[in-house]
Amino acid sequence: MQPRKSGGFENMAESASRPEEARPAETRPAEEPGAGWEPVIVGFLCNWCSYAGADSAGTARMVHPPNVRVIRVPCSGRVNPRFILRAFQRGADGVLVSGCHPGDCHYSTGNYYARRRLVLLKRYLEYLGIDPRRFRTHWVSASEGQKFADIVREMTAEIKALGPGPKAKLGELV
Amino acid sequence: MPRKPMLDIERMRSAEEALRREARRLLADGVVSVFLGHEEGWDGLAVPSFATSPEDAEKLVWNPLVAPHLAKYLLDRLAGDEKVGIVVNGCGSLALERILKDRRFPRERLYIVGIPCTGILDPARVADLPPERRREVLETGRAEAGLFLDRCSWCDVPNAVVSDILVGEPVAEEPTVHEYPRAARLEAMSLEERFEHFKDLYERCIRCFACRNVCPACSCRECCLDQWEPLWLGRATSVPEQQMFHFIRAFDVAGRCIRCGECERVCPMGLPLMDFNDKLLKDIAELFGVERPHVPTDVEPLGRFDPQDPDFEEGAE
Repeated sequence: MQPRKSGGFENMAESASRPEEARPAETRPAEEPGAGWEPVIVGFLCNWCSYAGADSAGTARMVHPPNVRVIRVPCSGRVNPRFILRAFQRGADGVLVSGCHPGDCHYSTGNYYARRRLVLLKRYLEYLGIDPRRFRTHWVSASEGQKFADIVREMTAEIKALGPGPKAKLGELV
Repeated sequence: MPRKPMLDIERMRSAEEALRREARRLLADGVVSVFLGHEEGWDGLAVPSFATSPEDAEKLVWNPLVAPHLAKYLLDRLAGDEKVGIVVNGCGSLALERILKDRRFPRERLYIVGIPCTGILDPARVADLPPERRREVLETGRAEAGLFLDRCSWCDVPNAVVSDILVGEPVAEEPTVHEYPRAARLEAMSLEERFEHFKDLYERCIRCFACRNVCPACSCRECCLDQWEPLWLGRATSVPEQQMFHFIRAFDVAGRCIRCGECERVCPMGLPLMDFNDKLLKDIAELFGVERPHVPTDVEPLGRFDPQDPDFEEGAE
């Protein structure tokens, strides 16, 4: 990994425009599986539990693969099913949605609604021909850094074995 | 098993008489300023009709071909406060109920004429018949099961679920065990086969939006498919965009779909669009214990929850 410069918006803009080659090889998406191919996993983590859980995995220095690109959302209920399909179409090899445990939602009920949608979506994506192992949903609380690290490790290994995501079969999104 | 669909031509003729009488009365008395029904189109099939005078009421028909649902046309009448008359059979009333439950048209501006129904033919299948056979079917009502609309095969709502007046004797309602053979057939395939099945569909879709426009559950004031900001759906006709289009179309009506199959019926490319909706209906029935997912309710399955819902971390798929 390259040493990270201190934060700030200038740096964010800079890293966004950084050429592909400058990014660490292990996080670079590749079209073909093979030596050095690393899956890209998009993780939608809720602000109040799972994002903090991922954070606690980091602060506790638990080693886990860097393949998950985290998108912080206010609640798992914020995750529109379209986000997930779009992530796959844009080249994600896996998608992870994680929120507060049922009953623990910061907004009381957001994750209950999300659960209905996601359970339905999970079956539906499989129906559409997307391997269900590529889409995982979990409950991770702010203190469950270990669980988050385990999930990421497990998921990365599984998707590595599966190979590149559905983008290869669907074709380019123009 | 549901009641076997059948045509009762005598019954339809008397319903047609009563319908015209009712529409004439409503228009003459000024109860409604327009009456939504069907009339005979240039090709003999039934097309929507908007009667605005008692004389117009004479054009209205009620025959085995009145497949198009009329509820969606109410959205064109939203402006103003005129009262609108509309004729519905069982499935037509589900479409109307959908619009009403979505609060897209005020119930008090409606006068609903309900007609008990024993089955409606698929106009496209009838149009494909040789002329003599077609005449015979329409005059005698002797039609094989394959000529009926798909929705007749599981229909458990022969009588209008919402109406101000019911024309004709109600049809006996029989409880139906709902099955979803279309989804079950695809589920039996492998992941790759299903992917190819749908990819073929995406490739043939011309994205004319007929399926969205006809759908009684698709009635947003502003449709996300038309939005530029955010651009939910790109304008290119690539496979991923078609996939997104059909994903949005089906998943956004999940839990609100009335299983009428109008999307499939109006598709100019003849795409099996109910393959999507059937799966969602089936899973909603299975996962959330909804026995009749096609019947509109005040709060739909995805708009509510139960703390005991199946959970993905406890073994539910």
